[in-house]
Amino acid sequence: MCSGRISPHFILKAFQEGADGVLVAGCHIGECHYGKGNYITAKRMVVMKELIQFIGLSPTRLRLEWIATSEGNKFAQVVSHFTEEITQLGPSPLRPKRIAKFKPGQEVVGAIGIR
Amino acid sequence: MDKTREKMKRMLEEKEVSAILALRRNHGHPTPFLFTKAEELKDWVADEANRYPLTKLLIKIARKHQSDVIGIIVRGCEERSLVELLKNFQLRQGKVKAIGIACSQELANRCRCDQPFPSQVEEGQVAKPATDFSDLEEIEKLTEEDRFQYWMSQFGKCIKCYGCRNICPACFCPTCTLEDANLIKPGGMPPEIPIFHLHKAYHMADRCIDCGLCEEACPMGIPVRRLYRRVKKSVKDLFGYIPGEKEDEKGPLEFLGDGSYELPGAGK
Ligand code: SF4
Ligand code: SF4
Repeated sequence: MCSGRISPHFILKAFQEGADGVLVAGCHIGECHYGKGNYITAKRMVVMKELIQFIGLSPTRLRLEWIATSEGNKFAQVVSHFTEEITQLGPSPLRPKRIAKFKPGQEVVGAIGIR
Repeated sequence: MDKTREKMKRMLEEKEVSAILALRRNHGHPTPFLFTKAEELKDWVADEANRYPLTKLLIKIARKHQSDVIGIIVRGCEERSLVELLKNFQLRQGKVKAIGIACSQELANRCRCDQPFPSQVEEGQVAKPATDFSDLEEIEKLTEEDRFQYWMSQFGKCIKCYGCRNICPACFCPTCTLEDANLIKPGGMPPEIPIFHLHKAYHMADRCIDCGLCEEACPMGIPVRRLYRRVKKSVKDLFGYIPGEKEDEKGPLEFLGDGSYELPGAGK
């Protein structure tokens, strides 16, 4: 599947289901079978990273890598490295059990007014 | 506003447009109205306290009356929304005539507006841009954990009324991501957070014209505009793209997009 098919909404859905990290891997830039699928992926991912960082989810939890079909070793390396990083970060705050602890409208950061 | 009223009158009388979409005072409340006769114009108002997504209404009206040219009163942000709608083929080129009005400095400051005036202004003093990102900085200086707590407690108040989407003058899809059963449970309450708000936020990244109507409409006082402003800022910093600015420029995040192969950072 082309990495351009990875809608940003899929990524959000994965996080919502409690995924600790999301790895998106695609063909190298310039080698897209469909011409420019991976260009759009590259653009989407940076915006998505900034968005999740803004709401307080570590951008490390989202990763983009270019891995060609012939690069089995690289794939293994990337996956183990990413797993290590995520383990260090700990479980996602969006895991269903952790999320249940939030109470709506709780004034957590007193300094910021609502409007 | 007399000069503008004169112009509207002239446009209607000379059949330059078949109708003008604007606000009318109706029992004391400004409500959208399609002016078709010059004498009706005495009730026209351009009230600053009551903004309304007229351009969004125009989509439906224009679809019904495809051969008519329709005039519309626009502020700076509404003109930007017109540009977005034309760009996305929701309105037809040449079938819309915008009549610009400028916002007061007071409104511009309240909106933290980058451009409180449309490209052509009939009368009045144009206000100075009141660009201000202090609302975003306020959040960005918090620690990651505090940011998460802040947003989750805000999102937690959402009653899933879809008000923020319905009022958005840059939203138009007939099938909305926020109602896609594969992403968000239909009918479920409370809404799944933060996904509900993040879907829209991502969607707005290369489309938000930053009018602030969403935040004004939200009955729960959730600062959704800050989210959209943040992604809009990313798109501007990374790609140098500003939604609603130029009609012949496609958003960088659209799949078929601008056809270019530029990578993030091109705007710097
Ligand atoms: S955002 Fe506010 S100040 Fe700016 S054009 Fe719109 S109404 Fe006027
Ligand atoms: S307007 Fe506010 S309460 Fe309604 S859906 Fe949007 S964020 Fe939720």
